[in-house]
Amino acid sequence: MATISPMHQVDTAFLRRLRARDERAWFELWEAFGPVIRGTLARWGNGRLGEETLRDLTQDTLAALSDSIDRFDPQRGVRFSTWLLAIAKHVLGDEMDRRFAQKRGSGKRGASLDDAWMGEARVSQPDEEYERRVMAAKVHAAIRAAQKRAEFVHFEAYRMRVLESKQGREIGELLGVSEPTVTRHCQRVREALREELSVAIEQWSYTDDERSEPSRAGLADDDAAFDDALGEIWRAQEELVARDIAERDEARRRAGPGGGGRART
Amino acid sequence: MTRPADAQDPEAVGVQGLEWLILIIGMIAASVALVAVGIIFGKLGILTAALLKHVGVTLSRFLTDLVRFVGGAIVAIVLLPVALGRLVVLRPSSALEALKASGHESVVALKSLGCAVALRPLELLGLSALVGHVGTRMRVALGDENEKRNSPAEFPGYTVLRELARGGSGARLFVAEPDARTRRKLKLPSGFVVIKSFDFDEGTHAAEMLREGRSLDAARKLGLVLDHEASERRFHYVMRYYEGMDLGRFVRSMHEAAGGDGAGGEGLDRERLVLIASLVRDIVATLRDWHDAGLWHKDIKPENAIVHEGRATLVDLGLVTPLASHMTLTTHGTEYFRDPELVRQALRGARVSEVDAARFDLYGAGAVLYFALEGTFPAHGVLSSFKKKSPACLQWIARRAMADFDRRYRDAEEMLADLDRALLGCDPAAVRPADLPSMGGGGEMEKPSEEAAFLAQTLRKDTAPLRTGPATRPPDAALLERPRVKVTNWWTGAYAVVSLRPLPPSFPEQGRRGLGVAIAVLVAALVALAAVIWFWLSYQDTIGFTIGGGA
Repeated sequence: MATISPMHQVDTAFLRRLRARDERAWFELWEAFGPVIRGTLARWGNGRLGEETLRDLTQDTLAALSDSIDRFDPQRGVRFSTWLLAIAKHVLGDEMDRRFAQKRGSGKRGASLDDAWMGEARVSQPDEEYERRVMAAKVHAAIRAAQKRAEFVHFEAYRMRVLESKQGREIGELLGVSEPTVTRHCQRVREALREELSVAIEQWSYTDDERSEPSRAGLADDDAAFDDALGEIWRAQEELVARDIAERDEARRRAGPGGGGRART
Repeated sequence: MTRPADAQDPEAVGVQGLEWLILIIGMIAASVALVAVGIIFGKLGILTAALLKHVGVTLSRFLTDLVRFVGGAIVAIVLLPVALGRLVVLRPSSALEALKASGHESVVALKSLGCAVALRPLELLGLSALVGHVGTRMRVALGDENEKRNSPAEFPGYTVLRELARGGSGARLFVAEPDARTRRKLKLPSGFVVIKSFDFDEGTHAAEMLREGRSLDAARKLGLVLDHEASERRFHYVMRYYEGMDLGRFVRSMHEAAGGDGAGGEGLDRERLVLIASLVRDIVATLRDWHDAGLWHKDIKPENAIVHEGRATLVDLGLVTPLASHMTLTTHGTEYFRDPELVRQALRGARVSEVDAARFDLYGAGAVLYFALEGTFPAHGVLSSFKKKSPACLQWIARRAMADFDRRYRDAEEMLADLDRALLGCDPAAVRPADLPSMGGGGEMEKPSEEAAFLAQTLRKDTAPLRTGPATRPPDAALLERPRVKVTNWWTGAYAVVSLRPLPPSFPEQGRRGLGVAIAVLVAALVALAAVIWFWLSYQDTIGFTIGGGA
């Protein structure tokens, strides 16, 4: 039975890049967890937060995360997901304070962004769906990284097999190659996926419980189980994001004209 | 001979009934004849409808004004005791607010009353344009900044017809008609133009103006910009106006018509698929021309393509940039249609000339193709799944265009070749990804039938010189189309090409209705009228005329 490669040390290079204000590292962070944070903030806002505000708050959350990631103490036993959620809550609370202060006209500054969210007891525990979203975001980041590494045709062959449940022969016909070639393509992509998954999980997991999530989800099993588990998470992530977008569109419709849109930025 | 009307005489009653019947038939015949004449000449019906609409609209505005007046007056009156009450409880600032609100409401009520009693009657007489113009000019002359901002702009040589919604750059867009002299200057014998106007006084920033100015030179080279003018405070340029629906709305309406209301739907039927894929092909062909001319669009999205006469035309030159520009890349663009690599490179601080920026447009084209097939945008970029049924080769093309920067199509030409192969024969479902030229499948391309080749050749002869603008057709476009012919003479077998592209039933071609039915109705009505008159004159002496109690 294949397993995920042994967990290595946290990818310090990425942290170094974040600390060094490497914009591309920040973009990777945004790409991986931006949708999760935005979806969560949108749910908390319950349709009252506009598109622009949501984007700003998401950016603030991730900026706060990248600012303090090196100061975070994993010994406190807080999961990465919990930590991320706490930062988001803090950022939202700060925004609310600022708004109320503006409304009152008192000029009171909002709460400062300190490291208060590091204490586990101070934050409410995230719900199951949020945990699933974070886990799916990590897996999706790994898929994206593997897709960048793999040949286009190889990755498409793997996608057809895993997501579209096509048989090797059918894929071979579509791509004009033999069935064994399809199998080889898929194997290459699978290997890349396992490696990238290992990196993503290690990078964004702070507790043993988090690190064991892939195994619990079936991502440490043999090839068939790995493909099934990955396909399931992939589809679930798509559905979650599609739901977020539908909710945002609905909120935008309720807000009427001028309520925001996919603005040119 | 006349008969006295006698209500008690059964014979007299019968005769009276006959008279009424003849009169009614005569009136019906006359009305039908009138309507038929109206239909035949067209104008009468249209004029009547326009008149009725004008009266209805004016009446509706009059009523709205009255309601506003009553509402405003009530609120103004109610607010007065509120203000008094606040004054009594020693809250003068709140009382002042209530008084101000009451005053505002009074002004609104008076304005509404003024409109109702003065403006609407003038509008009813057709003097609304005069009244509106005088009012606007007066307000502008008196320094109403808001009015200045919203007043219709004036451009020498053009008559502004209407204003379009503002774009992302904040510029104002006007649909205008050039006068005869300007038409000659622009070499534009027909059609309207769209004028994009930037005005410092209306909030345009220098950066936006500079950006547009940079793209202007490039766009002029391609013949996209017909005219431009700059003054100290204002700058505007003129493009051809394409009346039509944007591709976003067009695609959504297609999916709605196909019954696809979300994920997991059946997708579009073959005809619609071919049509929308052909529209995406138009965009890619335009991109090829632009890239060849050293430009990239930078904001490819469905809303920036107008479906006009069955073709997609790329619009919005706001972000068009020379590929050789030494400017630093910016993250401008539209979410989900913007290449993530563009953002990465922009964050790195890369210059446009350092990257193959044309490929960023290809990502947008792939995203547009995804949107066309799915009816929604690709939320996960290249990792987005297709939920609706669509041909594997089109899905492949969309993904290949959105693939990682180094793995996507090299250029628009390569993507175009794949699209051409997918659309050749008008059955994309029969084409495998392996058959696409980018996969080395170009050698297996089927040749078009002799009839299609002949028609394509004929069409090509009629086509204007190519590569002069977005509205032109690439030389191989005709080969994609399944020509539709209409037999014009059954005896000689002569035919004419009526549609270059198969149009789905929900978008029927508009044609002129024949006048045969109207003429037949007119003839029948006139015959009936003549019969009534003849009957009337022939039996005048027998039945007499007692209508209205006459002798």
